[in-house]
Amino acid sequence: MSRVVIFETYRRHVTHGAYLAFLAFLAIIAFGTATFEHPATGWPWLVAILAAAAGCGPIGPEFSSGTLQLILVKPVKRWEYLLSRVAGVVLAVWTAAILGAVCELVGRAIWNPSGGPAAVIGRTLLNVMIDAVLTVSLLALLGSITRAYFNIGIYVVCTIGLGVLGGTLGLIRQSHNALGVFLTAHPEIERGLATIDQNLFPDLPPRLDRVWILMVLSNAAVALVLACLAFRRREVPYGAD
Amino acid sequence: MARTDQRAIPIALIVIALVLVAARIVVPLLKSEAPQSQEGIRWLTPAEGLRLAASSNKPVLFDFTAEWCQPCHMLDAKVFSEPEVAKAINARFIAIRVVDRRQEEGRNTREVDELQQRFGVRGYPTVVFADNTGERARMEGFRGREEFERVMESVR
Repeated sequence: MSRVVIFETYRRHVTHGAYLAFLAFLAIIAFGTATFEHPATGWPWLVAILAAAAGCGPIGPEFSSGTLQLILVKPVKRWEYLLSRVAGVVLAVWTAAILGAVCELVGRAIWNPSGGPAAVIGRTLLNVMIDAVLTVSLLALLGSITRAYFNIGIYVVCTIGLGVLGGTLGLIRQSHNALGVFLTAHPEIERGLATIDQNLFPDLPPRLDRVWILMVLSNAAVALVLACLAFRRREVPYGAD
Repeated sequence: MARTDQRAIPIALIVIALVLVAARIVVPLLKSEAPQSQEGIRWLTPAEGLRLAASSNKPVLFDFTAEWCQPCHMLDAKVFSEPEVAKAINARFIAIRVVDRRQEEGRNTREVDELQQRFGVRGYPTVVFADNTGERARMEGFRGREEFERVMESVR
């Protein structure tokens, strides 16, 4: 991978006003929710939002803005460029996750000096960091086959759509009409949908689960392979959209 | 750099992905084949469990579930299958699994209907902790292991 691209991607994030404002917001939320009984409830979802927001940047939008054409005249392999961009974004998201965990730990140390659930926060941090890799990888895959910010559009539609579709099928099944009877007789349809949902948009487990970690990392790796192969074949026209 | 070089295939990444996918397939198999030092939850049917509860001082854990219910399967996979959770439940409770079969068979057994009515079950999964004084605690929906353990610990 290209250290220059990784560093430059990371630098552009950590010097961006919106990113810094988001970090400040995340720190306040993490610090404030340290008073909650249950640990790690405030900041993990903010990190997930950041992963989606930052992860949609590589490839697709660069393709449409015309910057990709300039970048690809440099002596860098396409897969190296893509993976380096992903790595830079992931580092920026990890920075936010670590900040969130640290702020919550500091908050809990202040509100409850006798000790806090540091182990739970640590486990959540690791799970959040692993989950961020999958989110950014999926967005890179979508970005490598679409233009502009269609990647985040598809991602959000799939995230919401799979949940809504699962709930709708559940309601139809209980309606006792022909479709309901069919769904009852074929529970594998709903199970398959739930499996796809769980693979692409996994819920964070409450502990370190090596099966879950392997699932997320293998899915991220497959997404990156597909992204690299799609980007490798993609023709990059001159100029912006 | 030549065009062909720029479009090189990421061999290392493909190898890493294959290794991860293989590990993902193999690790759960090893986990399931490993000798279980701790047994799972000893689930009883409503008839068996209520008979045992009548002659025991142990509180009862009712797991109201259904075959089609995805959150119920998650509760099984992420909470009930945990050895520590299973051990605690076996030690402290009579575990009764109440499976709703209306979707599959059109009706439930009398015991299942009575238990659902008695505890006002509105959806699945619903876990009810009860003793001879009545309901002590409940958890509705899949809310993770920590929440389950918190509810379970409230039954003392």
